[in-house]
Amino acid sequence: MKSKYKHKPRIAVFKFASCDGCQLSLLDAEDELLGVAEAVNIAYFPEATRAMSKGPYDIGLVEGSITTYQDAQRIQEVRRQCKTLVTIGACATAGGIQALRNWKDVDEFIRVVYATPQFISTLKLSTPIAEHVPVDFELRGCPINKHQLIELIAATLAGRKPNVPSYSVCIECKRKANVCIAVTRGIPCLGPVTQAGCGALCPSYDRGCYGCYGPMESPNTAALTSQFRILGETDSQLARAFRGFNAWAWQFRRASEECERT
Amino acid sequence: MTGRGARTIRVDTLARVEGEGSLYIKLVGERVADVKLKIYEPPRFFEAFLRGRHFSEAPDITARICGICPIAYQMSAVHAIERALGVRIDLRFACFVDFFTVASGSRATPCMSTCCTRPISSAART
Repeated sequence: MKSKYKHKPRIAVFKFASCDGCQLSLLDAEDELLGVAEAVNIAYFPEATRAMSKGPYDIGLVEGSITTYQDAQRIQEVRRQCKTLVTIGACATAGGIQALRNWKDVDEFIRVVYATPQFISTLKLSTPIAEHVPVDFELRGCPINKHQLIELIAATLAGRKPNVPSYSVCIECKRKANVCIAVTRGIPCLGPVTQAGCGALCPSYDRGCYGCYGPMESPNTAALTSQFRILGETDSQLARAFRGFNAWAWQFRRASEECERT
Repeated sequence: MTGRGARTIRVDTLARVEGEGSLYIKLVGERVADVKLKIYEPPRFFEAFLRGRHFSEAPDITARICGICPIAYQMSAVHAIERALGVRIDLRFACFVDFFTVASGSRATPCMSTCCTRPISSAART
């Protein structure tokens, strides 16, 4: 990996409210991991190593959303410690599946789930990192694509923009020569409004896309919802389709709220 | 060391599990005098927001409880749905599901949470 840094750059991985899966993608990059370890100094990565060095760091990877007062404070300190801050995954970039609380009464959620609610402290909203601090790049996905993560690290080291496309899943289907399941079989598919990155995984197995990579750069959700209605989907089904792992991304948020209103 | 014959094992980050926490064990001689387990992972409320979803959406959602062992949660949701609907699964398919579950636990960084120790279905054992 080419590097713009004169020293071996120090990389740190931080976790907020999340499932650990996106940071695990770095460890899952088995073929590239030695190359990464050669190019960077893994200074703070609790999931991988007990050896933890203090900041500042050159590159910070942040997984997870902000859901507690303590985490809202901690992300400020993380931002101060990292020259380049990158968010990885749907939780960090859009609030994650836990953002479904944002339409509900979180106190009721606490009472329903926990036997001793007095021990639980949480914020009313689950919010993406960029709502709290400036973010240099957002890598999408639930989970992220490990090849995109390696490209992101390589690009950051080289001081260039990462080659991560913002077009839709449809482009990936076309490139794989998939027959469109929405057109030919009437399967509701979020592919036209969802950002590429998964390699059109679900449509390749005859399953509709369910939006893991969040909204593509200019999604026409209104046109897609009217097409879904022609396929016989109800408004409540449509609203739920957009209320997934990227429910709080504003384009999907607006689409689900419009479906609820009709 | 916190005194004569007493020592404390401190694990500030239990990092190989999803649902992060810390563990403190105080030993006096060979005797465990105190254990503190602190879970500082923020709550995410899967049990609450699954209400009102279509049952077919549950496996994809529960898979996101833990990214280290997603299959265990996904299969737990599948088993719950099968039980709720009274579905009996073909033995060959049940074996495949159990193979899938067990194989997912043999990754390089296995999650140590209890979900991974789910007993194999009775269908597959017979």
